[in-house]
Amino acid sequence: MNQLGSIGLIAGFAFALYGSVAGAVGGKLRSLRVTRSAERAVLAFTVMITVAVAALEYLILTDDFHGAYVASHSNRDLPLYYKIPVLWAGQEGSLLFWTWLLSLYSALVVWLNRKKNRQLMPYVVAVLMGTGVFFSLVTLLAANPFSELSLANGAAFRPPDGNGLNPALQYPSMVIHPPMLYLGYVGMVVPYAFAMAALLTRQLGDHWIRATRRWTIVPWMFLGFGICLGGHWAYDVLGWGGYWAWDPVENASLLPWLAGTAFLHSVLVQEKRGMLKVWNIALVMTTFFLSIFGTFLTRSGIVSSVHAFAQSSIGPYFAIFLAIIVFFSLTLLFLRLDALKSENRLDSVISRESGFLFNNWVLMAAVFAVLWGTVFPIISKAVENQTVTVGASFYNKTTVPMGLLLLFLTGAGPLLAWRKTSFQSLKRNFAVPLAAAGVVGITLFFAGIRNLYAWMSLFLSAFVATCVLSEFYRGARTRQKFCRESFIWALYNLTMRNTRRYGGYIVHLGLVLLFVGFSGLAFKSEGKALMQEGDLLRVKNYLLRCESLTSGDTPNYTYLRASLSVLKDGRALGTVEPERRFYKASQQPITHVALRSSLAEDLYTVLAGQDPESGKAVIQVFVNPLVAWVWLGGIVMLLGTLLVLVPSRVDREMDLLQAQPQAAEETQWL
Amino acid sequence: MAVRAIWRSNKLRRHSGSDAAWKAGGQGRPLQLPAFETAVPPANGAQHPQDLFHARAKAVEAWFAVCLVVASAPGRLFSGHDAGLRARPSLESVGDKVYCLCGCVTTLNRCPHLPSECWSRRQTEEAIRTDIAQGKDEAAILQDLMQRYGVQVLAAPPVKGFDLAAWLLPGFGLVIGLILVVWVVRRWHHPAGRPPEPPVAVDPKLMMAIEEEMKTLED
Amino acid sequence: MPVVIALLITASLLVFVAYPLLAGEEASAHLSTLPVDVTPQVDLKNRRLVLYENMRDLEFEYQAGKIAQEDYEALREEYTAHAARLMAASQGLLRTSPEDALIEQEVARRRNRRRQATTDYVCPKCGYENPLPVKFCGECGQKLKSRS
Repeated sequence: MNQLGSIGLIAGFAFALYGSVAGAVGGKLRSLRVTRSAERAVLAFTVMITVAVAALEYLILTDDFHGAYVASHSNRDLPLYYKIPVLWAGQEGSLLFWTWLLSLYSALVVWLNRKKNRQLMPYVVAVLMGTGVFFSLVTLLAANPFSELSLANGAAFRPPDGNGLNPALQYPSMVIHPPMLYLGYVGMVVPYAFAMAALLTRQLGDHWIRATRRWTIVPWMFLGFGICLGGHWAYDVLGWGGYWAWDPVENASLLPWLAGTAFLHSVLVQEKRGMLKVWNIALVMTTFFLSIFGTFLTRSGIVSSVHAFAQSSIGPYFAIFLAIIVFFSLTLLFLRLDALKSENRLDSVISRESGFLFNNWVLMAAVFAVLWGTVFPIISKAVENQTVTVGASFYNKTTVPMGLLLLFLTGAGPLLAWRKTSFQSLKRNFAVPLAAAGVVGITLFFAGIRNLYAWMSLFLSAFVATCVLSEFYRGARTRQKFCRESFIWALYNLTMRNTRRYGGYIVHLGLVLLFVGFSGLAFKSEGKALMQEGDLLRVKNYLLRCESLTSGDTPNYTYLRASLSVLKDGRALGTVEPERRFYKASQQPITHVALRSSLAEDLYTVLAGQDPESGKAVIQVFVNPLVAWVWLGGIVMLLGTLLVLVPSRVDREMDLLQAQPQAAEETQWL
Repeated sequence: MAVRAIWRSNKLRRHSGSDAAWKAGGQGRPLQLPAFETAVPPANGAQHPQDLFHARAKAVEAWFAVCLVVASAPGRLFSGHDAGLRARPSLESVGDKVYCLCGCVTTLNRCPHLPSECWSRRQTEEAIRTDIAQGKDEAAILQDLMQRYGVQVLAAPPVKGFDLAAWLLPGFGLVIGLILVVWVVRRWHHPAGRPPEPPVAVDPKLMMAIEEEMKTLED
Repeated sequence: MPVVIALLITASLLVFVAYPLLAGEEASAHLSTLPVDVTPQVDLKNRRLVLYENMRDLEFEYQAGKIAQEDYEALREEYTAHAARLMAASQGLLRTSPEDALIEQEVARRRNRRRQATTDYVCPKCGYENPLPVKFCGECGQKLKSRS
């Protein structure tokens, strides 16, 4: 099976290489035949990488510890549902997984565009397969998951059992978190490929923007959802009571998401007004660059991180690939600068267009700040030869104000009309939201909220929520007046007619929920105690009593479990049972947090360990207000994005137009 | 709290008072300033229509001053995020600003290991406890730890020397971005050449075709 | 055994990929070149659709009280004028070539022959770079000098 996997990988690499060359040649010669062959090579690439992935999964599921990868990341007693994710648990497997997702995306792009975008497609294929060449090459040369264990004398070696999956990864949201995140990272290559193809063919109108709209939103959605899942995992597993630690790996996923968000907004300006063409292409390039850069940062071991993969030799490969991306992108952009003139000009400084510019400003400043913080240890090492740590406090000081500014723009932007907004209408539009926010702000102040950032975050959240809801309300009322529909029906029709706008508003509401959740961070309280049966611990208005300490054994791990009964303000809330597990195969301990979650606050209990002298359990308790709002916000954002993906009235019309002229040119495929 | 807030906003208002009054205040004499002095227009101000513009400018100025007061008020009304620096340090408050060096790549508070099983956590916490017992404030404790373990023990780069760049550049980025945006907006707003086209009467035939086409978008 | 299967899959994929290159059936000239992505008609129609949507939004925001009346009227007039220009260009295109589809193919072929074609259809009046050779500018309706 190891040979099967290797053959799959090698043949996949060969097809990718052929596909990228044939794509470029087909585009240059404008030859339908060569292009078709290149497109078929994409499918062949997909098949071969799928073979490799299937081979690796087979090795994992059959406990074949011949292979170094399986031996170091799996073990016999691992339950089936945790064996499947072993594929992406380590460096080698996850690179193969990356390549596989890329191949699936590429095949989908080729299939969905079999009748459209014929001029762009050869170059799109060339760029997609160029990326495929890189990833399959790195997997082959530097991180081969099919390399076999051997003894010093060269004989094959088969250990009786594997080292096991990292226990921190044995958690449900960890099973879907990496695929989501990777689908986000990898998907960013598609808009990049289309942008490059548009530059190469000089088709720089709105066409490529329209062709890639959904190809940008989908990875963006996966990336955002993946980040949320990652936060949820960190919260439930790592046991320090928070969900975001500004770790380099977390930052690496945030960077392309922020840049992608900027792109999704500025693209509207190009679609509606034909402006910002250069900027949009630059943003697509930046987003793609950052998603590869993030992969590089976290895989090469050049920054230290909780999540760091084992140090390996893939760093130089990535550095070269990144250099190629930058050189290729910038050269092409520079050569086509003349063709990217703005069609319109700005009518007024106070307009939706400039609102979007400010949105982009804040987002890109945040990208810069986070990127700078993440790479600063490297820079400092190079300049001063000393290792500095850039931790959460740095990011909190630099990015929180930007976040608040962004939150404000989230509400204010949609209040501005396209082209120009007179001062009069500005006053009218801002009056209600500002009043509502003012009421909330004053109430919160007198309710005793004295933390500036938390107060501002809640104040602005009220502002934005009112803005968004009043958009829905006013829209529905207007529609009701003109179409004589019931309010609910009007609301539905309003949303479905322009899904992008109103879906976008729902995403904004999700962001508001996120920020409400973030404000809760200012009001954390925690307590810690050594406990045994009968001991009490008071944290805020909670009283916990240790009922029992039990230890037990399962095939996969041993555990120590504390059973704590909870009283809140004297009222019984049942018991929570935090655990500390010790996984046998990997010889690693891990805490299993016990939560009692509500919209107002979470009671978060951790069994941090056992005191060696007294045998008492170290119990750590956090009371985290408003955390549930973060998950709620993530879900609302996901739903809003799904709504955006539903084609609106005008989208359907344009799709129809797009299909018509090529009907006669239907390509014969298989 | 409320009394202190009012006192502070009074102190602020002094800044917007006249120069002489400010000096008087500086010499420690009791201040007798009318509230919102700057908002009062000059005696011969707004009466004449031709001075309306000036009156407006004054009003804008006054509004600006009020805004400044309001904007700076939160900093005084709210306990800022840096309030922790002034409060008595505790193991928890310092533990958030210091990294554990055992390889867990987190702050001391978040190190997943128990002090009994983590040398770094045990040593560092001991050092902090000793310093607190000696009555040192947070800055001194951090300084002490830095001398002992090097810069890497701090959870954020120190605010001096080359590391100052870490703190300044994000701000620079923000400002440069703003300058760029403003520049772009201004350039778009005043394009060289191409005056706005005068409105032209649209051919009714075209208008009909347009309306016909628009109907396809109706629902 | 797995190795044999892998080699078989690879070999059949090789045939699959090479097939379009070797099959001679599509050698006839115009089918062997790539068809265009957006015909001028469709481009114009798309641009009009965007404008219509803008106009609807404008109307809607005005009715919802988000835009002042003078802004509304001025913007509406501008949008209408722009749509009319695009419509005129579209109709001009139709008049000159009733069999739109055939012409388009012809145009695509010509375009493929002469790479620099696009730069020849920059409107002298408004500077708009028409995506394909046209007789009238897609932006302002200006007649462009015809080239053969």
